[in-house]
Amino acid sequence: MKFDITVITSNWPLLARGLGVTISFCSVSSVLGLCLGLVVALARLSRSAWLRGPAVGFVEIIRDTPFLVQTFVIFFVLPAFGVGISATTAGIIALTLYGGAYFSESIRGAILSVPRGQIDAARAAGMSHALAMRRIVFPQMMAYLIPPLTNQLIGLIKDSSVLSIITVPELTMATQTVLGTTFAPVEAFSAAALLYWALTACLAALMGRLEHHTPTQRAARQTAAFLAAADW
Amino acid sequence: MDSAVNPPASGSAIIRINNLHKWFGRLHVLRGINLEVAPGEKICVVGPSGSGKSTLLRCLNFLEEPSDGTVFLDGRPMGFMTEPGGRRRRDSETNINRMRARVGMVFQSFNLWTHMTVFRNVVEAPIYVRGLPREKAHALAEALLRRVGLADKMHAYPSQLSGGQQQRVAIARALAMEPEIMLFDEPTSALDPELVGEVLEVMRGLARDGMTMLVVTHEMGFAADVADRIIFMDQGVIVEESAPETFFERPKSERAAQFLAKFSSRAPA
Repeated sequence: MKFDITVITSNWPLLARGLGVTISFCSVSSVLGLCLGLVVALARLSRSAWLRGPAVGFVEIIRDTPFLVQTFVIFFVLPAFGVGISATTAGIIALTLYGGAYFSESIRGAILSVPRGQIDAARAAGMSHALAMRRIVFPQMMAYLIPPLTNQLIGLIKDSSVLSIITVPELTMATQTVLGTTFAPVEAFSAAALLYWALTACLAALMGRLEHHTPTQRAARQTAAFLAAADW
Repeated sequence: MDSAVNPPASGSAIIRINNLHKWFGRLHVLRGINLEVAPGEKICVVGPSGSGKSTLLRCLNFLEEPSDGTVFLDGRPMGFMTEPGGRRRRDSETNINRMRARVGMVFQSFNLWTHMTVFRNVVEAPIYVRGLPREKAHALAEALLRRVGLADKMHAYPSQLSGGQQQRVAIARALAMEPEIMLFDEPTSALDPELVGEVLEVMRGLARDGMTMLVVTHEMGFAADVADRIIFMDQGVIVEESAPETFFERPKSERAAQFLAKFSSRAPA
């Protein structure tokens, strides 16, 4: 068979728009999901069982059901109870809940990775719990958080293709539209795969830069430079 | 000099510990501790490992919540308030933090904040907890780092320092809160032997300046030189409370004598 590049070039605007929708949906849901994840993680670490219980329940429900089913529930079940909801809103909500559940576990793990003594020292100096979190725990947890978070953000981008089922015009949906007019699945899906890869690769590179600039990494670099320059 | 052994009158005590108990699950770690500390007094707490020394210290600034009994700081109960009905409940976090800020603590494992330079470690709490203006906090940090002999390491990260240097920074960090009391939880136990001296020297200086100090330590030479009183703990109780001369020359209790025998090679001359 012959790979017809014009299938991609002539439909480029459609695919580009789909990529744009995927980027916007994932950006908005990542930011909202990170906020949600932080709240859920702190609730789960709280001393109050009234906060811990719902947090555990939320994570379990989201983690233990397929994302496709969650999307359907939000898109079709809510309207059945008279809550009108657009595909866009349903898509953002679904992605945010899904991302938030996974992010919360990474954030919880990162917080727990900060050595206990670091927090003891903060509390002994009179810092409130909130101040110790903000000044000591959060800056230090970044080094533990970024690697798993990178995985999950990439997962979020890939799983956002599910939203094509509820007619969100993102990249996978756009690819199917191209397919409908050109009947060229090889070209259309190759283009989609390539665009997803480019997007996730950019994200991974960005997260790598971010990791490079965490306070922990900065301290480690300066120490390494110091040891290399030391006169033994 | 047995007068030092007599507990100070209640009115003048800066710390009063009243029937303190601590359970970890079913483990009864502190079994009724009573102690009074006068302002400016230096107390060394010694005893075998697992005797509850560190837990006692951590109860004094409420890093551990006492299971029963009360610690009074300047006559005010620490961490608890009594309801009109007589039941006690945990004090507000704000009040607990405020009282904690008056007590400095130095840890066995230093616990310097690893993501901050030495300088940031020292100015952090003065700025964010005491609300000192930046210039004042910076001047204070410089003075304190000079005092512990590390002015030249200001912009290094903790991981660039030796253990002894880290512990001296930790002392400067605690002093930056201008505490009324300093707690030392085995400050030299994690150090290589040749680095112990520099930390003890800083602590001796602090003692000379009149700081109220509670020191959990295995450095018997330091205890003999600096302490006004030695507290010997075993299995969660204070077994013996003596002036250092008494404690090291003719301990009153059999258990203290056995404990000291293990240190014979390191005992003070």
